Amino acid sequence: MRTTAKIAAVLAAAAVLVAAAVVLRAGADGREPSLMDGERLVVGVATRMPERGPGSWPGVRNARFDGFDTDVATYLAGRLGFGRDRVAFRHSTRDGWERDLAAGTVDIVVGAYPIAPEGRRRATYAGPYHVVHEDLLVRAGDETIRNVRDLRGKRLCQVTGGPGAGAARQVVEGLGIAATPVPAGTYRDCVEALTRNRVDAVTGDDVLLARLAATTGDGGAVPLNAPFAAERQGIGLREGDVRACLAVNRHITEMYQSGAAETLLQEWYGTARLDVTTTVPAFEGC
Amino acid sequence: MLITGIGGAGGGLLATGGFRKPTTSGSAGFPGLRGVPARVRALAALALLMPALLYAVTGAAVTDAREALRAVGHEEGPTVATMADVRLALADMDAEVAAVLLTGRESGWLCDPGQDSSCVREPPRHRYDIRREDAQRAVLQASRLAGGDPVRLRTVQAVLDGLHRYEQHVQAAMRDGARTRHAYGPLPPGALREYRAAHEVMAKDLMPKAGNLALDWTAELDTVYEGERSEIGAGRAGVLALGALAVAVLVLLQLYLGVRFRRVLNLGLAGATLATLALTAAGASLLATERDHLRAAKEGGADPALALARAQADARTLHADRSRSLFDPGRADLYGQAYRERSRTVLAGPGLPSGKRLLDHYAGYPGNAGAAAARAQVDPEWPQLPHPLFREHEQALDGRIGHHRYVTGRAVRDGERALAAWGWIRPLSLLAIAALVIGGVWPRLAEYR
Repeated sequence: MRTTAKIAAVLAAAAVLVAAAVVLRAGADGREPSLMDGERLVVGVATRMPERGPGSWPGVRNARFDGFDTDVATYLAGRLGFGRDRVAFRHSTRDGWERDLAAGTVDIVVGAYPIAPEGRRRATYAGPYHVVHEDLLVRAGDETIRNVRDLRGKRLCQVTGGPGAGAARQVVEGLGIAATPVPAGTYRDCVEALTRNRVDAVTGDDVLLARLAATTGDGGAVPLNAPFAAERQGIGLREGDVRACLAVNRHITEMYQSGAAETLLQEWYGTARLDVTTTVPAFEGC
Repeated sequence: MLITGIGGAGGGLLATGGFRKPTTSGSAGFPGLRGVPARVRALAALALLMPALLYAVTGAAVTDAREALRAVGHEEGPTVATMADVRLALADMDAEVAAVLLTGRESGWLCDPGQDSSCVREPPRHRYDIRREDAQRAVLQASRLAGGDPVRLRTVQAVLDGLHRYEQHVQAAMRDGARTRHAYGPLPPGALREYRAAHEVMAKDLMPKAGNLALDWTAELDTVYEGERSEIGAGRAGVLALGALAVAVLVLLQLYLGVRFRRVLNLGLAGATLATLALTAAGASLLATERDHLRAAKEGGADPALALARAQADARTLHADRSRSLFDPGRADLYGQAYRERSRTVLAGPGLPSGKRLLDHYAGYPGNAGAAAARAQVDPEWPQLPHPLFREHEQALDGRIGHHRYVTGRAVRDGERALAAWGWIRPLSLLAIAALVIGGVWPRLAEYR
């Protein structure tokens, strides 16, 4: 008797549990882990920096990160629920940001370039939040260079080390323009060579060139404003964190709608006589 | 009557261990279950509870399936397609404008037969107007669908504003271009300035926003789809588990009655057991079928259709990028980069041979080939039309998109048809099982009266 009753009781309990689980969806909350559940946020900064060595980068002042990208990161972190005291910045690199994310040294990367379609995706990519254009920096008053094709036979500064090293090579080899590369140690050396008439042009992304131009003061070097290639800067996230990716895209949209993006762009690049796009870029998709 | 000598036999049969305390009642833990009729009643109540639970769980899973089909077939799915159409319409407008400026046929564009009956408005302008209306209609539909989401609504509004600005710059470029002969060569500076402004609006404002809206809705569709699919799966597991439990209770009751009342088989309970088995099997197989239909509708229909629509918009923009680089050589490198990126998606995406043929054709006329390259953009016989190879690629894509949209429609219809019968199968089988259980147990209980 007892056994019958016990079996019956167990069956009844099991049935009620199964039914409750299905009808009330108790077990349906299988959400993927996301950085949004974390306590702190470590932001990797992968913006192309003109020079190596902390403190000398335009993106870092007194070992503190600043710049458009870090402001965007701070804004987005705030919208994701991380106050300033819960956000830390670290260096990441243009080529290594996916590795940094996978290793867990950073939670999110700003200034990340999208993964090439043929490459295997090892990260989730939100944004881009800004599109930078490859452009040229020329001497003020130089009328002979109007676009990148005019570099034929001209001297083009080539940074020998660091993340900017490929820029000049891309012009000469990628676009097949017969310019003469003139090696220089850093982007600063390039700008100096430009103002002293040892080279005719410096190439790099417009944002970087704008900042470099600003260091020469009036009449030194000017960005040409003739973009010849576009590169998308976005947010790198850990692979599969679609929830954070969708949230970031939404916050980027809002950042442009509210005018916050325009304010930041004007703050960082407005003085550099650079046409900046103040509308939201096309997202890659999460 | 039949109550003699039951205790030991029944207990021994079910208590396989054979160990029983001879003292206090066996049901000490379950007060009120003393005596055979009470236990039969309790087991029968349990046997009635089970199909009721099965009914609820099947109902929840069927609702999930219906919701998922509705999302893919009638709500989020079509919305995603609408947003893809916005992008396609914008790409069409962009391509028509670029082709007219390349071929120097601005007067046929500007012609307004209402004002000047001597001129003829050319087909590109008609196509442009139709596509502009398409875009506008789709955007308005999107604004209706955006509902209360302020972020989306602002984006939709911005697209409408952008369309207006784009058109103003295009008209200005056309008016300026019409003053100079420039067919198949660079645009005059005034027209170029206006065109660049128009292109900025298209490439940096309209296209990104339309694309982002499409992505946004695609993500929503994916979330609904994945969620409902996993819930249908959980529902199916629940149906199987509850079906097994219901059968176990019925078998338990059958055995108990068999031992207590010395009957070989209670026909009512046997019928109820078979009906429960049938209901469980049918429910589980229905849910598996629904998952398949849903998958066919989404992954075999909606997803590839969307990817193809994107590839189609890319192919049109790619064609326009080439036209642009020919009449705006100053920015040829920037357009060239966009061209190279899109040519990858044209080749990698749908993998159609027509795409390869088109790119091979373009490759035969590099950008610096000047007028020859410009003439290679259009149909040699009818310069108002794009090159036949481009049209062939368009048709191939259209065919594939049509096929996938048909697959979605059919899978959703099939899924809904399979669900329709469950409106009456569920209550009817619940009633039948309950009647069989009661019919099986009632005569036994009556023996105690």
